[in-house]
Amino acid sequence: MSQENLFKAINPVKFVLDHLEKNVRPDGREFNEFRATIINKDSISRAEGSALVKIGNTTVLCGIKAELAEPDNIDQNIGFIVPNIELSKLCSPKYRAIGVSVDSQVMSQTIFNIIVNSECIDPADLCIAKGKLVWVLYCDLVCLDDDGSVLDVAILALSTALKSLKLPKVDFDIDTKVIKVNDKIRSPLKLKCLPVASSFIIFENDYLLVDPSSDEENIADTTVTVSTSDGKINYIHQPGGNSIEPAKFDNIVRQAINREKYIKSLLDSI
Amino acid sequence: MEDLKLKAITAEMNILSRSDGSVIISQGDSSCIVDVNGPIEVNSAANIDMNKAYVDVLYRPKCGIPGVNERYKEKTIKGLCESIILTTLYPKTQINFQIQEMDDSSGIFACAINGCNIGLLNSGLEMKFNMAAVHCVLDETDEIIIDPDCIEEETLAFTRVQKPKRISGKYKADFTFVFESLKDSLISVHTNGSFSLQKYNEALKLSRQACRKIFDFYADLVKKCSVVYIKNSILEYI
Repeated sequence: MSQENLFKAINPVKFVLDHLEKNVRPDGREFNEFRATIINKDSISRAEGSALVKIGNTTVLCGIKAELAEPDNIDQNIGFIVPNIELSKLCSPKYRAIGVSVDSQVMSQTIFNIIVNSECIDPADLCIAKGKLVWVLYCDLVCLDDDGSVLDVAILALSTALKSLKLPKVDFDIDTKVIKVNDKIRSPLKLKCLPVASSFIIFENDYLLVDPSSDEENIADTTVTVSTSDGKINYIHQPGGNSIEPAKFDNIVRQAINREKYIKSLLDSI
Repeated sequence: MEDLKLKAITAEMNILSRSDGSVIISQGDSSCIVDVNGPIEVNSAANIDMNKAYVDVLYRPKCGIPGVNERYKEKTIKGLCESIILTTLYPKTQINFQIQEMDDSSGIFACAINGCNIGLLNSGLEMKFNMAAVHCVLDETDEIIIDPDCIEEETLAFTRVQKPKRISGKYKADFTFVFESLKDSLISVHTNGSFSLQKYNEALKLSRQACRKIFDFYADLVKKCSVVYIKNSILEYI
């Protein structure tokens, strides 16, 4: 073990703090610098829409499978979207080896809330025949490597997959109830906007760091996740910790909006 | 601020005979029972930090079985309780919270958080500070309403197994802010719906003023009980 790694193992808090005092983060980034973002569209050929996204080492794979179903009795002309993220021991030793962990359930719900709050999809677009047939989008996300800010990466993977989603044409005869799926003719889903989430941590009440890695995440006092779409905030989550001054919070939102613009330009270029 | 009106809060402690701390709390028409047990033996095999107490939260909805949305609430409440209890005083133990939702007419999440705080006061566990949750909504005319009485909650956008309780077209967004008692600083935020930064800051400012009323309520509640406790202890002494 090198001297640096030894120091990190013995006193992780001081290790990070010593770096921050020299105005640099342990991985050599600036305080407001995001890690390199890599987006791969249509990674899975069998899925209707898919994406593989990497931010730094954190990797999330998303595949969307569309299935036909009968709608809910209460809302007969809207479809379903079911995001589900898998956080297994594969990506980080902090998760449980078997079974569904609470972390993944909570994150699935968070992803769902962000999708609903941003109103990026009109659920009526998923309706094929009112009261008879609708689309169900099973969005399966797998975290392959958790090196911090998984939610940001998961949202980006889901957004990219939704953008690449192509639904086959379906002819439904209401009288005979015959469903004809034409795989040859596919059309993309209408997206009003795409939500982009950004995580921030505050360390020692002073240092504001964007896109934390897992080492930084573990010792943070306060974590905030802000999701924006088209410059509007649609999700703020601060699970505990210390209070954030309004000026600092304005800074956080500004950075989140800048990040959204950057991601949007990135998504438009692929 | 005289125009800041919160829903009537009532709370009754010690409603369950077998638990260390229990309370039934109601804010307007929203009410829940909170039961606190601890410190007790750890019965979880999960990899937990043995240097401090392990906090476990169970949230039961009014009807049906708990789903993923309840897990989400549990995790948030767990994080909050871990930050307000002096967990390092109770190493190798577990503190259990059970929250039973009784009635939800908006703001049940804030009600549950306040209930947990009163439950903790009742249980006698050492705390760093108190917490108070305030619920508010942003209506269609961009006006902020603190602690609304009853909002028609209906499932919007998508239906699925885990239904989001989302406010219908009449309201744009809702916020739940949690403050601590020492400096009234914000310790947790939970939001729904989309809004601008300006509206968020406005809602935060109003809620910060409103949280004092909840802290005052805690103080009154403890004052009432402490009189009874002191009387009892004097009687025993005599």
